[in-house]
Amino acid sequence: MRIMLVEDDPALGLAVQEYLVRESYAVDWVQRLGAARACLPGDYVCVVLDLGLPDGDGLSLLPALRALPEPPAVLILTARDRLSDRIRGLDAGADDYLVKPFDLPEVSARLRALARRRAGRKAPDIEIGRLRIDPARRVVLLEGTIVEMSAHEYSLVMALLEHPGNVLSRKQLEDAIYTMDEGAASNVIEVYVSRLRRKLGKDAIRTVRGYGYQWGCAGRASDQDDDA
Amino acid sequence: MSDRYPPEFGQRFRFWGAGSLMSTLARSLMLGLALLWLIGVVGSGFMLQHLIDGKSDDELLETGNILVSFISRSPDLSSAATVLASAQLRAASAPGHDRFAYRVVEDGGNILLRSANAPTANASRPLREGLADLDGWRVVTLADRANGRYLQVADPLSERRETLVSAVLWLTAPLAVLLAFAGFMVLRASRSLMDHVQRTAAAVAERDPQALGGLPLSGVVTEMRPAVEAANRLLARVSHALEVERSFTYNSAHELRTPIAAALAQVQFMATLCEGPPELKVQAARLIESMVRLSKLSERLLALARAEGTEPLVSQWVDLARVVQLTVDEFQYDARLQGRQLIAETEATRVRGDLDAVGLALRNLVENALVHGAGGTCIQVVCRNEARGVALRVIDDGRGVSPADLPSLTERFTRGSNVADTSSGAGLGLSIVAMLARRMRAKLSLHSPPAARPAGFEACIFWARPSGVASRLR
Repeated sequence: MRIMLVEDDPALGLAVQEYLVRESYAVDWVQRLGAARACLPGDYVCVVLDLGLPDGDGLSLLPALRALPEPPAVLILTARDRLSDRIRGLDAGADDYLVKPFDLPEVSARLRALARRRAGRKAPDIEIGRLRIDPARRVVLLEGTIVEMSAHEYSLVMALLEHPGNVLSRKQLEDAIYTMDEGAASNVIEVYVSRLRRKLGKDAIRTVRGYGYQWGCAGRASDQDDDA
Repeated sequence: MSDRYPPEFGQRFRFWGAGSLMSTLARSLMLGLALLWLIGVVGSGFMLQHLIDGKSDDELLETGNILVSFISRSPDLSSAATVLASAQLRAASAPGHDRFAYRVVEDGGNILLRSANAPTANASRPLREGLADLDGWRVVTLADRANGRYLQVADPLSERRETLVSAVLWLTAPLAVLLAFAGFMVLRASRSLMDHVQRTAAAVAERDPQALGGLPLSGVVTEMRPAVEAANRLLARVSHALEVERSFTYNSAHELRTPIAAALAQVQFMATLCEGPPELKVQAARLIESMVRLSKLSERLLALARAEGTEPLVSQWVDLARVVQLTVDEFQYDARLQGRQLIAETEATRVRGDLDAVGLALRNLVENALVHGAGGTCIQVVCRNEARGVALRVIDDGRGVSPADLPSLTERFTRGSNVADTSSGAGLGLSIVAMLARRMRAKLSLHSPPAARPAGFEACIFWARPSGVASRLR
């Protein structure tokens, strides 16, 4: 899941980025509004946005984010703690608002909730056929057995499940699991797909020749509520 | 002022007490007027007495001279008696005059002839011409040299006193009326003057103790203006000093947010990397706990600076239901919930207040429940329309506090005596809420346990409706 972090404080930005990367997010961290605009559209699932930035108010980025074909969810992360600031941020189009200082696990939990809402899911767990994923613990269960995965493999599974039924190009998948600063080897997606097929079954990911990859099995992800 | 008097009585007569300016002014003016009036009356009395005595003496002397000229031509006593009796009768017939008395006395002092009302005592010797007082009479003695005798003509002194008293009465009666009128005018002028003082005093008395803005100078009398201006200069200095202190606290706390957030994030990230001995994880957890406490303390200082700030609160309609929902959303992922539910129970309610102040107060109440309501299962945040107003309640089912501790919980740096972990809170939250509620003309009340519950704690901010609105709703 790819995230853009807009935070001008180096120490805070670095800590949040490293923590989220460890949580299997692909995080592009920028410290200026201009740099954030340059990253768009970027196929971000979420944007973590500071408000008091050196080159302007973070809220001014919201119209550009809302204008994207698939607008990312926006979590404002700010020192402005007044209720009127919170309302202004939410009314401007942000999806959530968190005041500094904050717990990193809370940031992660809010991002998961935002991603879930963006994907139209209600329940936190993802269940598809024999596969069950607990995003909070980053645990993948196949027929009740834990499947060990690297962070990038997990990100690839989540990227495919974020767009159930859609065919994602290799570039899109690279964007979902790597940040702009990370260089992806030319065949890295094929390698991960191959590994995932070994772990989850050869039909787990379907190759659409000439286009990319699509989540296989039943062909689409569904959450528990939908199943119910 | 006793309770049996209506409030307006106290308002009206507050300035009549001991040491009151109006009482002193009115008393001084009245005493001064009365003294002047008394001096005037006494002086006038003496002057009148002098005038009356002089005039009466002149008349007596003139009468005596006329009579002595008549009797000097009547050597025998019988014809003199006829002349004198006739003159006495004629004089008595004039309005406002009593009969004068007369005596004809020989040189040795023996009385030769006297009127019926004349004193019988022999005249003192030697007889001298002129005026003298004798046994309540004013006597003029004149010599009838042709016949070797003296004529004494006398007026009763009581007649003169009666005239004097009557004149003084006629003089003082209008003055007394004038004095009463002057007293009324003095009171009226004093009250008018005191109205200005009262208005200034009321403006000071009704002032919010937290508001340190200058007193209004409009309507202040010229004489009081320097005092009010001096007070305003003093208030401005105090306000500036407080503002500098609060601004320092606020800015420090605000500027500390990002560094504290960075430090906390780094420590939390470091903790996720700890895969060494268990002691390292314990140390990391303690470090995180310390950083969290530091961050909460800086938040409290920020809130305190904001609650005490001289910046006036905005009076606007605040949608309480939205404030409750936003606050519950804010704390929904808070680690201190420890499995407890945070529930919003709202209905359409709105109050007059300051949005940020309401938000800050509610956030502090929820934090209070998070910290001190540990052990419970649920925290309810409720806003309701009630018969007499609007209530915003935060109710937890934790262990609560001792009822004896309730009154002191809104004091700064005070925690309940049965709070297990004294390091968990700064003891500022409820005092901040009480301060904010007071500034919004609402009231904070604390209950432990809440009504109809076996345990727990309830904090309620209540906005009373104006009495007219309440009665209409009933």
